[in-house]
Amino acid sequence: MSHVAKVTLKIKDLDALAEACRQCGLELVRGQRTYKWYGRSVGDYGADDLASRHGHAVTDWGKCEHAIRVQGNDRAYEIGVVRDTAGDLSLVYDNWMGGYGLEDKAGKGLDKLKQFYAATVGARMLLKKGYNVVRSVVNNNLVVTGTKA
Amino acid sequence: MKKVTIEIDEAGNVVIATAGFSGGECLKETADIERSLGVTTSDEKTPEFHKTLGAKQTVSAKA
Repeated sequence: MSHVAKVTLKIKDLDALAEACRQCGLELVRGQRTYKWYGRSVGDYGADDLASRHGHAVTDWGKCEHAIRVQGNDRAYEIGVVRDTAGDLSLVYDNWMGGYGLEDKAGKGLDKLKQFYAATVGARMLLKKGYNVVRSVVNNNLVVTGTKA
Repeated sequence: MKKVTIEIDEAGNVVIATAGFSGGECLKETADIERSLGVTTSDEKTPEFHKTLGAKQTVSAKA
């Protein structure tokens, strides 16, 4: 080992996000400016990850730069791709009842989608650098390994 | 053989580890990967990193 770095994930690459969506049974719809949710806030969610605490004001709920939908499930809520307080892309969604099938694909808290996104970005970067890339699953962690002589 | 491992847990936490590099080469190799993924929050050098950079020694002697 030479060094070990920990990284807090940020969504930066829409192409990689589209590929990660595809792998999860989702679809990134670029330019769709609204995402499906309950439609109005009832004030029943107060956790730290509440979108309005991270730059997505309640008055903007339902609006987005792009949207992610569940393939083959028109009843499911959708994910909004929005900007957070730092101007970075962020994923927001209505998690009531798991988004009616959304979390089945994207994972609770969208963790599965984020995991696949990071793996896609990592694999693409390593391939670009000339590495042989292998993707595996170890204890529910996605592992992307690049090797070269 | 040079090896870069990117591990992502179920919560989306990312750990990047390198092996087989000389000294600071590993940092250069993964800098853009780390930037593409997000914000680096910690970075630990391993014994291999320090070994290949070489150690400076100062020796003083009093007459």
